Amino acid sequence: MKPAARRALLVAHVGTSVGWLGAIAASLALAVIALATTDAAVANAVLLVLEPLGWAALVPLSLASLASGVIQSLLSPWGLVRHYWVLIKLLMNLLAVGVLLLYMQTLAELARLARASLASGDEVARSASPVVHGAAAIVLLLAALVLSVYKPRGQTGWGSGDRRTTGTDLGTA
Amino acid sequence: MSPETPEHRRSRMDNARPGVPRWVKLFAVIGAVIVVLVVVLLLSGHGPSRHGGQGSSASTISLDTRR
Repeated sequence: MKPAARRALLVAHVGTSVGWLGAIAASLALAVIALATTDAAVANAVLLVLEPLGWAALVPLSLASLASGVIQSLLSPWGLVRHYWVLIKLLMNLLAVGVLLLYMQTLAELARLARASLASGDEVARSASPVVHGAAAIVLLLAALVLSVYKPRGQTGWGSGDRRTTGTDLGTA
Repeated sequence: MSPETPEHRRSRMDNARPGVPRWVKLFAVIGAVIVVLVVVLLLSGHGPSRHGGQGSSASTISLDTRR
């Protein structure tokens, strides 16, 4: 692969991944505010905005990060399953995207409860769930970031003996 | 911090020991615990749309507290 194309893919993957991390950080901050505030209007507003924030930023950025990472790995000498750090990042990304897509149902339910609260004037349900899930996602993505930067050694059964991985074109993934 | 050159990477790859590295085993154990935890939580009814509803552990605040 040409260096220019390799760098473009790297920019796409780093950009979408950092964007995903930032979107999670924003969601986590909002979730903490909703949990800590004594102002019901603020709590309701946060619960209403978390779901569209998820669909507008979390889901597309997570899918873009996954897709760009897979494409970049397949086109680079690192491969998708040759090195443990790449394979583990892939599994972590799949887990995070899967949990996120499931969790969007929870955010929809929390938004529905907030709307009902606004309409009826009843008490606002508050849950630590968005904080817990947001914090776990931050930890997961930071672990993936550490793997990307340090690239700890170790080849899988699909990578050992494959001399393409010891070439001079490893500045990717 | 100087960037790692392809030559350094090649040297590191060539020096890689056979077998599963310790850090991979650590990640595998943590990953297995997380997956088991997720499955148990889903099977125990913690799954999507269960937050904040009737009978949940969600706390509440009254709208009377609005300014």
